[in-house]
Amino acid sequence: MQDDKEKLLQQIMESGKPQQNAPTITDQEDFTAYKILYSGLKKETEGGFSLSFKSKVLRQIGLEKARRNDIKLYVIAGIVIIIGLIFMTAIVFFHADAISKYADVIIKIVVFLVSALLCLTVFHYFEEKYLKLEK
Amino acid sequence: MIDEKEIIPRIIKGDIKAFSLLFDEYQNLVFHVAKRMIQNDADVEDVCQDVFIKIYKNIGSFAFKSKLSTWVAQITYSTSIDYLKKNRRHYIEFVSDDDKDYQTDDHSPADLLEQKDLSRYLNEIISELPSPYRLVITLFHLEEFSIQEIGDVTGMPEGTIKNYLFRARKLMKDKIKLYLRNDHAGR
Repeated sequence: MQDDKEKLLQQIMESGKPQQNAPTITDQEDFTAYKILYSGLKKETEGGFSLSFKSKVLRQIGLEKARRNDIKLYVIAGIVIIIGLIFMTAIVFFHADAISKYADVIIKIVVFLVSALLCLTVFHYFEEKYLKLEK
Repeated sequence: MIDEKEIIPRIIKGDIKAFSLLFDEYQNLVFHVAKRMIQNDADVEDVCQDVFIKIYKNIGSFAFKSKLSTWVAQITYSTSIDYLKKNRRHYIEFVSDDDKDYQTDDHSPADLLEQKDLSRYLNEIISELPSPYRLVITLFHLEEFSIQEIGDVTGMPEGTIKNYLFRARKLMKDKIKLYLRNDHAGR
């Protein structure tokens, strides 16, 4: 019974026309309390973000964007290096005799490319760690 | 009001200005949901920061099947829940049928009466409600989400949401009634 009365009162409040229904309500105290409650619930909570919050978030988003761009760059660099390595291996494999006199140079290039790939990976790993720490 | 269909592709392309517009539009929603769930001011900003970063990272997966506000609230809700679980803070996932278990602390309305501030008192009693009550009340009344949208955000069945709304309002109404009685008695 009590719950039915409460439900009815809440329905009246939700209808947005409590004034029209007010005279039919016997429990004026409950009605007034609900009226205060419903208008109070529409008011925003106290406080809000600190002034620097937006810039903090946008800075993080900027870092995230830069990280995505870096990843794209690393992927492209990685693909280029791998294609280069495959290409050179093929040349060495199919033209071993002709290439033999350039072997030293080729080995140096291969070592350079592999080192570059390794450096990029290590750099990326530590950058990720740094970004996580900064968060 | 931002045009979601125009702004989302811009954010996906990495336009920070577009994201700034989205931030302005939804900062209150994110703050209200996180604040009502976490309550501790110091932690709320950390969680909200995570929420906005998640929004940026995952905006590409938004399929326009719901309102963007529902999706944003969903991310805020799940991030807040994760945070509460991780920090092992008090979180009541299911609310008992007996509201007597959740009567608000009677640090009496009389104390607060001295402040003569009904809206502060209202915030006080909201903060003392169980977490799911606070959440549905905030989404329904403050953010004007429909019951279905609240269901999309929280995963709660419609009947549960209606029940939580009803019981939360009743609890708060009883407190306000007491407040008013004491207020009149004090005059």
